[in-house]
Amino acid sequence: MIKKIGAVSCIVLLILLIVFQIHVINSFESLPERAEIFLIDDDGRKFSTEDIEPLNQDFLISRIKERNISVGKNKISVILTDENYPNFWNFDMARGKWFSENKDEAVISNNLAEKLFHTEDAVGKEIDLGDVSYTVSGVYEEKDLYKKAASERERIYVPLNSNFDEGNTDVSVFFATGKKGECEKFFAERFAEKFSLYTGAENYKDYEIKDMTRNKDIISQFLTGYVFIVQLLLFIFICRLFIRDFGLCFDKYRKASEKQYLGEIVSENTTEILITAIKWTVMVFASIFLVRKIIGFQFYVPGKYLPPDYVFDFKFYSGIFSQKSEISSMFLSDYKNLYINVFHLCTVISASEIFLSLVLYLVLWKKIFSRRAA
Amino acid sequence: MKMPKVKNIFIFLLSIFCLLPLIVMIIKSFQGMSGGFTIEQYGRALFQTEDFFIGFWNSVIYTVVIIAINLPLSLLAAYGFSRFTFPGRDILFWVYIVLMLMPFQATIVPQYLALKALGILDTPEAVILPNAFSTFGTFLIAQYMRGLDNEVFDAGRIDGLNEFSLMMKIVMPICKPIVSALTVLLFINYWSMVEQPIIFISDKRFMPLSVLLSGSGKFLNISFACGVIFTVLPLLLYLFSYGDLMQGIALSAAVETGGGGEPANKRNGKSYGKRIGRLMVSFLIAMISFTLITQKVTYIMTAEVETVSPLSGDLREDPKREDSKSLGYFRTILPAACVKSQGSKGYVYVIQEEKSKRRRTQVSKVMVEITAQNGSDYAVSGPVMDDAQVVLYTSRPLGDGSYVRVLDRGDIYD
Repeated sequence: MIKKIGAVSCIVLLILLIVFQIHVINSFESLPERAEIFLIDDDGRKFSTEDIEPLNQDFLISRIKERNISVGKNKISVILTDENYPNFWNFDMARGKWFSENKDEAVISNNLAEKLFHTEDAVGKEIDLGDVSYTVSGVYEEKDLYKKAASERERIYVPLNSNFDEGNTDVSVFFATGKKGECEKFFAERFAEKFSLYTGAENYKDYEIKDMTRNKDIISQFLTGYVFIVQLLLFIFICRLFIRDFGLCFDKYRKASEKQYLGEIVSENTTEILITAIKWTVMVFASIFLVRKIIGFQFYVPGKYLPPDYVFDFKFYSGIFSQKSEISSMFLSDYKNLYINVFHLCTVISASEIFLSLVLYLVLWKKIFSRRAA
Repeated sequence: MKMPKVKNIFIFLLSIFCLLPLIVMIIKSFQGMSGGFTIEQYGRALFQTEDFFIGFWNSVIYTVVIIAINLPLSLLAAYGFSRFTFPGRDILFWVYIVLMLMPFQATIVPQYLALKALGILDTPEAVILPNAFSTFGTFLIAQYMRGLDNEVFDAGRIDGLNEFSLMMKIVMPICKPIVSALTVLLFINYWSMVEQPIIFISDKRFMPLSVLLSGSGKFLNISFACGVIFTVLPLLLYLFSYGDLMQGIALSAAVETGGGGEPANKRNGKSYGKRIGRLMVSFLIAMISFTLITQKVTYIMTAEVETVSPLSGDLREDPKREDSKSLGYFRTILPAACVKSQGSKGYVYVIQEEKSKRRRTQVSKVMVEITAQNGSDYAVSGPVMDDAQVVLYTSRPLGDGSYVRVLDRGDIYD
């Protein structure tokens, strides 16, 4: 009884984990792909509007700047950006709309609206940010998953060309994606080429293009990878079952053939033979299907994480890890933050799924094969 | 007393001398390129050399299929020769012996012509069919069967067995040692065949490992480890059927090996054979697993590339302005991203298709000279054909001869 309850609990937990993982992956995948371009040395020259403007012909660009202030007791991040920013982050507007450029308008979250105005319907209300007063043009609903990505601070989005930073529109970070929000392969390389062509390679030297165009592929692999492992386990199970059944049938036939002719054996066990034949046919087709799926499955690992020659080049991997820890202090965008969080979350979920599946698999294996052997 | 000791030392030294290639192969397989102990060769062979597994499974398929056809045919033919008397039997058997003694090189041309007429040259059948029947097997089993006592067959007939049942229920169990011996001999013969595949097959996709190991530069750094893995299966088979092999080679059902020469597996019962059998199955399962892992690793390690075709025409000074000053007319103009420049010289990677039906794409490094540039495009001179596909972007660093997956063959200038 306890074993049965344990097994049912495992199955329920497994289903819940899978559903949750699908939700997490779908939420992440709904965000547009992008490349993030930032200056490594922020003290140097910044990206000017004139330099970035020509890129709008081929790409969708959004510039971003962040300033931390306090409004009453609330510590707030003021995000200075443009009209394209909603294309990079899925804002679920609960009230109003995104701000218009060249106006002193602001967009806030429903949580901040509650804190500041004790109501979600804050459209049209005024917020004083330093010397500048902004009118709330929209209120967005903060999603649980995305909340994890953002810092503890509440956020207010205002136009980059508003008076907050005295009209200074130069930025050290901007985002780029395809015109339709999708990035084709080698987007970052293509972008780098155009950027260099339009701005002049000598103008900006200390910038980095963070290619995040295939982060979705990496995250989606947690689920497809789990499915691959399940397929592999199922295939092994079916093969074992087939071999065991075949052995049992062969022993049975050998024993029967000592007393009866083949014709007699067949006529006496027609139903059993038919059922076995159907079972084996299903097994064979299932095996073929699984083998095709197993062979067809392909992992994706970004090229920069792979050694140039030998796959077990551990020196290379340790170099990658040390390099990662070196750049951790650099600018981390919400998307990058979200990616890291989702990656960690999916790792834990996948590990739990695999563990539960293995437990169930071993229980089933023991039950089926020990019973048959007996 | 001295003589046996000297003899033993001599035999010991001789056996070491005979084993020397094997010992060297094993020791060298654990050496890296810069010396020192490492298992890098095994890591490369078992986890990222796709061609090794293609060759290995080709060898397995060829050997298993050939033996699966060869053995029953040899058994039936031998049974016919040993049990029945028919006109021309002795002459036919003599012809068999002549064919057996004939070297392979003497029959290459007729075999080649026959396979060409059948239209199966350059296919696996070209290797399987000529080897599906060997006179050696028939000769060996017939000699063995001739030693069987007629009374055994008479007893079977009295029990109501027909000729086929006689063969299956009486002759087959008695012939188990010679069948095992023949299986091992055939296995070793076909596992290491080189001439037939080289002559009858040109496509590397169908080549067995014995040919690939000796002929492909891809195995240059891992040849010792590959050699060790290649040796495992015949070695296990030999150990598995050691007792039967000893008995079978004695060439007579009546002859039994004496107590002193009795093989170890006979002494320990069936458990030894079972253990080796399990080891063989485990080895094959491990090879299947490694094949699957290698397939995945190869996919990951293969660079994805986008290519462009070279363009001819005027190279403008300012790539953003069509009306800017012309730097001249050039036959080969490539985007700057294609050319890895070192001063006025540089190199590009050009796509080549593998000479095999697998049609994998490789890149070859082509040295070029940069004659003009405008920041966006380079005019180059060098052995780059007009219709060549030159690598524009790549997901991983490339090397000369690297396999790649071409994502887009379109010309970006279109």
